[in-house]
Amino acid sequence: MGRIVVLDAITAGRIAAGEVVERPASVVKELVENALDAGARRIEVELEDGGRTLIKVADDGEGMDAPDARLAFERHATSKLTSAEDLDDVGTYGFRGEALPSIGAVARVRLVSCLPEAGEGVEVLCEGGLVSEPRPGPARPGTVVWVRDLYFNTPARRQAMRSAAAEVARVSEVAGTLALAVPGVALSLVSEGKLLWSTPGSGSLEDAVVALFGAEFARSVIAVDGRSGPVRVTGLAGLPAVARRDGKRQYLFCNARPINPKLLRGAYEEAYRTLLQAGRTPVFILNLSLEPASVDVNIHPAKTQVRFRDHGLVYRATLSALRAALGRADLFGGRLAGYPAARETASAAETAVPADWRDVLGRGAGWFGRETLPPYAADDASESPESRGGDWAWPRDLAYLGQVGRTFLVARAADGLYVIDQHAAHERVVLERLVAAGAGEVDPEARTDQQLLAVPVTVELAPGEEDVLERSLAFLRRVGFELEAFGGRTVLIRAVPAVLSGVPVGGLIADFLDRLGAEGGPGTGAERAGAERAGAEETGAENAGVPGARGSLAASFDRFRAARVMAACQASLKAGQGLSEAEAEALLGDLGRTSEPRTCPHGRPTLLRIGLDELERSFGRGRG
Amino acid sequence: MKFKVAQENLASSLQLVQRAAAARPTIPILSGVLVETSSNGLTLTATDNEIGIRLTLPAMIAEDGAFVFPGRLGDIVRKIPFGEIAFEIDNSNNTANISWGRSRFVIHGYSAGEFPSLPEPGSAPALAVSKTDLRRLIRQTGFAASHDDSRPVFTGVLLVVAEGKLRFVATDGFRLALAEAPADIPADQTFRDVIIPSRALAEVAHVLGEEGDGPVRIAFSDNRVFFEASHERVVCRLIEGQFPPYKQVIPQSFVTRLGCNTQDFLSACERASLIAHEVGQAVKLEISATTMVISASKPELGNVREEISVESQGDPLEIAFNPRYVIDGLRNISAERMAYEFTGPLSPTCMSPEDGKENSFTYVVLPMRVG
Ligand SMILES: Nc1ncnc2c1ncn2[C@@H]1O[C@H](COP(=O)(O)OP(=O)(O)OP(=O)(O)O)[C@@H](O)[C@H]1O
Ligand SMILES: [Mg+2]
Ligand SMILES: [Zn+2]
Repeated sequence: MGRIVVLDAITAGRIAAGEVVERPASVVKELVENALDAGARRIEVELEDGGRTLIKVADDGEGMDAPDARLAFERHATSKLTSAEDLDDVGTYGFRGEALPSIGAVARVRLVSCLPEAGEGVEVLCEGGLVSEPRPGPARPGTVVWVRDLYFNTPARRQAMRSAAAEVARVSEVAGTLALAVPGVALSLVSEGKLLWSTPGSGSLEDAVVALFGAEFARSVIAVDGRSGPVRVTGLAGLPAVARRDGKRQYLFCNARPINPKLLRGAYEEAYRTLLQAGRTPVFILNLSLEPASVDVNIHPAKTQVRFRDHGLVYRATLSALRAALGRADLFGGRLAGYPAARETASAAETAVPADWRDVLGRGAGWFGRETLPPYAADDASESPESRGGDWAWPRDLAYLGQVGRTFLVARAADGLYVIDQHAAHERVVLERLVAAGAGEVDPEARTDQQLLAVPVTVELAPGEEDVLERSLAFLRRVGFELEAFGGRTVLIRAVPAVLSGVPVGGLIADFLDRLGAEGGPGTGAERAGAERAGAEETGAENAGVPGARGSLAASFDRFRAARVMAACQASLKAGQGLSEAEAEALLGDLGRTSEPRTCPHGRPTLLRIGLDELERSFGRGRG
Repeated sequence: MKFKVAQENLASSLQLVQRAAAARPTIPILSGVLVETSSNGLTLTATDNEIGIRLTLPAMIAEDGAFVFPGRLGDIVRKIPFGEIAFEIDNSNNTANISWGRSRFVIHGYSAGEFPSLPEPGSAPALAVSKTDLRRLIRQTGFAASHDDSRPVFTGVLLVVAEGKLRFVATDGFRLALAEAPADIPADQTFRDVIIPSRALAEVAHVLGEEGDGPVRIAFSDNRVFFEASHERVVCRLIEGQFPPYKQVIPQSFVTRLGCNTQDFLSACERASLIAHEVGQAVKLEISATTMVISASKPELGNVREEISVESQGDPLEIAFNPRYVIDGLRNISAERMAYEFTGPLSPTCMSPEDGKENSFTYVVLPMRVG
């Protein structure tokens, strides 16, 4: 009888372990988190064969005495929680007391630990869930854990492991993420005896970024630091030039705990809206500092799912911090070469293997794409990233000089020479007018000024769109359109919002209806599309678009905005159009009055600044 | 081929003709200029297959021939000093020898046979109009055409031949401009309405220049229109499609009509537009029997209120406009006094020179609904 009970316990342990210890990277994550919880200042991670044969994590933390070391392998044995209420107030990475027993259940683990002042350490072994009695160990302050033969007793899991390179890449991502969370801790990763990367532990996030991603990348990020009430948002945000197509290099931490960046997707998308080209995602490393009591962390064993008591507050704090940082930055200043639109777009799309991966598979450099560094060679990498972005504001003294190639406007200001893409600039100006027009949405009483049309515009509806039109008529009218259905599938537009004077409204409306008709139009995430559908259903067909139907109105408005971005593009000057001096000056003036003069609605730059310093450098002239 | 030509003549002709050359040609030869000798001198031709321009200029022809110069010829000639330039073309290897003073320049070109031939009007119906009138027709309508390529007919100017007159009409849907001029119309010909790209008309205006008068022959073939003057020809493709029923847009009656000094009204509108400078902002007109108040206000900028004398008939009226549209109309009225007819605060308005008959110009603009 007794044996069966024991076996059952072991089996249960293995099953539960699967939750916590999915692969070598999860082992590393748990061990590094334990080291961090133990107050380590330096943590070294070593892998052999991608972690299959060995994962070793050594720290210089507070260590354990013999009884604690034994207890560490007991399920739900944790030093980090004393009562159930504490679950509300978790300030450490660990709190379940599950990691070590789970790892011990599926591998051969050896733990050596020693308290700082103790003359002797302790050693505990745990193999397939069977824990040895503590034995004396070396007097090395801190803790070292060796995890050998991972999944030696669970063949299915062992087989599920990917190639060594893939597992190394995963480990590197997990450890790198933690290294960014705690720039004050020196973390290093060694695989097959080779150092892949190491952070200096200087406390500066920039230094950690340099160590992981290189100095070049570090030059393309700007500092973020904003506070809204109890929420402080700090970190680094990438300039549009380093936005990615693969969604990577987004790191979000909550009190230095990695959380899923998608949690605040709305906030960063909004902050970068119109700054990025379609299909690109911003790069950022942000930490939210908030009272531990206002974060709920016990959602998922992987712990990346947290829930905020007041999500709206965190959202707004993140948005405004990012906006403030981006608003100050000279996004496209400097050389054209710094902007990847023309050069990189195609190649990035064609590259099947992400550059990061190629590094791992090919040259053996770290997942983060760094060249191999000698161990802890912090000095090598710490050349301080110079001017990143810098402060920039629309130059008041911008003076128009002339047009180049019927496409670009050249202007000068005290801070340098400006080249403006007239098409992109015009798009931006038109967009802002349209958005301003739609601002009536906020105030249901506000009536938008209308421009009556000399020749009504007819829009032919596609089959099935009658219904979509029906649903959006009230909304379109309130935004300022005067339209009527005109036999069958034709709509006649007799008046447009005044700000749309001169804009081809037929295409705009057709586009709007298209998007409303299609499920989840471009630019709207799947969740949002879902929310829109739900909103439309719940409000019923007739009221969609009336002020009371908030949800669906907001949703259609969002779509409408997308449609307007399109229209702005259509309405804009085509490149290759001659502009009179007065027209060019007016365009520059209008651009300067927009809220985001640096990009067109599609995220392409509107202007390029060649700073005085850049000119001086180019001509080999020093300052003074 | 061998000829001599004055640098200043060639430089200015090249500059005009090259406007028709393709900027980003599908075949390189389309960026070039065809140069042919003729009894009158030299003929220069450039075309991008949409628009073609042909000019003749005096030259001393020593040996007949034809050659296609690369687009760069214009730059080269512009940099050659004032005076006579001699050209000698070696057709065997498609090179041109350009010499002046003690200098010489050799460039490669293309054989003339590869250049697309410019269509000929043949026996297509044709009428004649004076250069002065044609310039005015283009100026008074071209600005009102749309730039929106998604509705091609709106990017063109409608040409109508009716009642012994040539009529140009353009609209971007927001306003409509119509201008007429007397024309020499053969009684035995019928003309259908055609739509000409406004860009092509701008080139015609360029080629005609600011000065000089004389007849311009306009011929309409099935898919092209030809403008021919003594030394110039512009050919362009027509825009296919149905022009909006413009007559329905022009009001036939009015409830209020005023007459006033064109310049006073224009200046007041221009000043008001400094306040209402963003698209979507209105300028208000308050019309009474003897005065019109022009006003605009923008909270963060200030406000403006001007009063001008008018002679008006009918009801007093308050109406709001996009100032840009009103200004566009007024700038095209050269007469000292203009007439402005209104059909109500939210319906079409129509401006014209007060003595409308001679320099017939009609401009319809719709008001804004504000507040
Ligand atoms: N590197 C270490 N240095 C010092 N103490 C450690 C270390 N690793 C583990 N411990 C001790 O062992 C205990 C058990 O660790 P384990 O990772 O299993 O649980 P936890 O960290 O408390 O919670 P979680 O399961 O959420 O990680 C910890 O509470 C801690 O007291
Ligand atoms: Mg732990
Ligand atoms: Zn764009």
